Amino acid sequence: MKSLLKRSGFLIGISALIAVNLVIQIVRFNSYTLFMKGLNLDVSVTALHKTATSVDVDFLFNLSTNEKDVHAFVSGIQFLLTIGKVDLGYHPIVGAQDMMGSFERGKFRYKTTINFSGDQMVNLLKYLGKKKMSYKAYVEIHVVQGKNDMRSVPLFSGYVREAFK
Amino acid sequence: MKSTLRALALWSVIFSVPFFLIELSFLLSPFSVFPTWSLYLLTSILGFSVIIATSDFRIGFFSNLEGAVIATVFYVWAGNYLLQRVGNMPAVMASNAALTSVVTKSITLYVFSLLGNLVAFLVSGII
Repeated sequence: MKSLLKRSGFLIGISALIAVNLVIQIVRFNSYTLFMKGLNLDVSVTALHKTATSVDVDFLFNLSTNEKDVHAFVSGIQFLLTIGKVDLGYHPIVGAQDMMGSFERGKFRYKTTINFSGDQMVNLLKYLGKKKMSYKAYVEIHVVQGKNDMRSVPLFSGYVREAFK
Repeated sequence: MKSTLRALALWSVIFSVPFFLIELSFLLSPFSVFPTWSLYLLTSILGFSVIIATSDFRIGFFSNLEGAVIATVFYVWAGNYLLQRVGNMPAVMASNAALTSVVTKSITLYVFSLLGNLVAFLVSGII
C-alpha cells in the first residue's frame, strides 16, 4: 500500500497541478462572463457648437459594469448614428495608440467631439429636439487576465440622452 | 487474469479523472495560468506518471487508453451542457466545445499522453 502511494505520488501531484489551474480558470471565466453580461452603455450629448459650415457635437460615453475588479480597457468605438429615420453617418472613434482608457472600479468615461457637415449637419439641425437620436455602438473591449488579452466587440444600441442646456 | 482485469478497470477510472480535468482546461484555455503548450507537456507527464504508478506496462498502457475514452464521453456531455448553459460564451470556447473539435482534441491529447507512455517504457526498462 505504501509503495503504491509512493509510485502514484507523481500522478497525484500532476493531477493536483491541473486541478488548481482548472479552478483558477473557472474563477476567471466566471468573472469574465459576469463582466461582459453586466456591461451597460450610456451615451449623452453634452454640448453643441454651431459654425457656418459645420456642427461640433460633444458626446460623453459612460460604460459601467457590476464586476469591479476585472482589469479591462477600451481600444475603440464604432459609432453609428441616426436621427428619426435619417442616417447621420458612421463615426469611428479611436484613442491614442489604440487605447481610449481603462475601467476604473467598473466604470469607463470617454468624451469626444464629432464633427457633422454637409447633409448630416442639415439633417441634424432639422430634427434635433424634435426626434430622438439613436445609436449603435460596437465597443472594442479588451479584458486582461494574466497574460491573456481577450478582445471582444459587443454591440450596444439605444437612444442618445440630450444633456445640454 | 481476473485481478489484472480488476486492476485495469480501477486504473482506467482513476486515470479518467485527471484526463477529464486536462480536457476541461483546454476548453477554458483562454483563461489558463500556464500557456497552452505547457498543458500539452502536462498531458505527456500524465501519461508518463500513469505507467510509473501502475508499474505494469499492459495495465498502464490500456488504462491510459480506456481512461481517455471514458473522459472523452463525459467531456462531450460537459462541453455540450456548457455550450447550452452559457449562451454568450466567446467564440473560442464555443468552437472548443463543438463535437468534432472535442473528438480531435481528445485524440491529440491521447497521442501526447502516449508519448509520455513511451518515454516511461524506455525509462523503466533501462532502470
